[in-house]
Amino acid sequence: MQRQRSNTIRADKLSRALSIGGRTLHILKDLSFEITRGEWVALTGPSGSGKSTLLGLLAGIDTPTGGRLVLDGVDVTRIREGDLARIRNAKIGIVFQSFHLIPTLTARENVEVPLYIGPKAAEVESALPGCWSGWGLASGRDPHRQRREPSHDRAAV
Amino acid sequence: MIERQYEISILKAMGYSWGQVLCTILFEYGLLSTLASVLGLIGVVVFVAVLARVEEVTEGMLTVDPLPGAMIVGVAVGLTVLAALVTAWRPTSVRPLVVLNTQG
Repeated sequence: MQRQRSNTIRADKLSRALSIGGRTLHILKDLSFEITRGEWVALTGPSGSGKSTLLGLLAGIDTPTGGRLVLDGVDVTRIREGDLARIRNAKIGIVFQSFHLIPTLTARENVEVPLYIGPKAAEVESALPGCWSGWGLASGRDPHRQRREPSHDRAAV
Repeated sequence: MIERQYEISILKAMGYSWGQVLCTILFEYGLLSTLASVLGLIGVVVFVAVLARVEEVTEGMLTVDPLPGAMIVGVAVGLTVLAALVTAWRPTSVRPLVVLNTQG
């Protein structure tokens, strides 16, 4: 693994392209930026401009077709899949627009999913966020909120 | 297995590696096939015992020896795990975003 400047997200000529019907569609092309620790960033743009694609790349759930992406000092475009999975588990929390909870698991089990493979696997109970027990009352019968809150907590553990 | 790609992609997005997901699936199929094979074998043993009691002619002719029984269980479990490995290989290799984007 290449160690670089820590506590940042740095994209260097990041590109993501798709091949559709023999043609290459460039979703992101030569995108460069840097986000430092503690900085709040809002990503805006019209539908189809590549916001979700960029977030997918930053979260390590998609692969760029060009350029480099350095997360917390590690060039994630040049590491093994297993190492990238460890980074996803330890450093990245994702709240998907449509939540993506595992339908066969309970809300609590969904929150516990990332814990079973991480360094906190032996202490799942204590690693659960303190707010989780309040879901039932707080969420009421709002199905959107019932899915949103476990999704937020899963990203936070 | 294709139907489970959604669940697999969520697990991978949460930090499970390809190997961990594949091992989980193989363990699941191995456990299920072991239980099914053992239950099936117990069923055969009970059936043979009942048949021997009802039809005295068959007594001593139909038997289930432990070694062939264990081999049947072993082969059944092995084939199931192999089939699971072949069918799970590709769905577990897909990048999570590719699947999650289609499941909005």
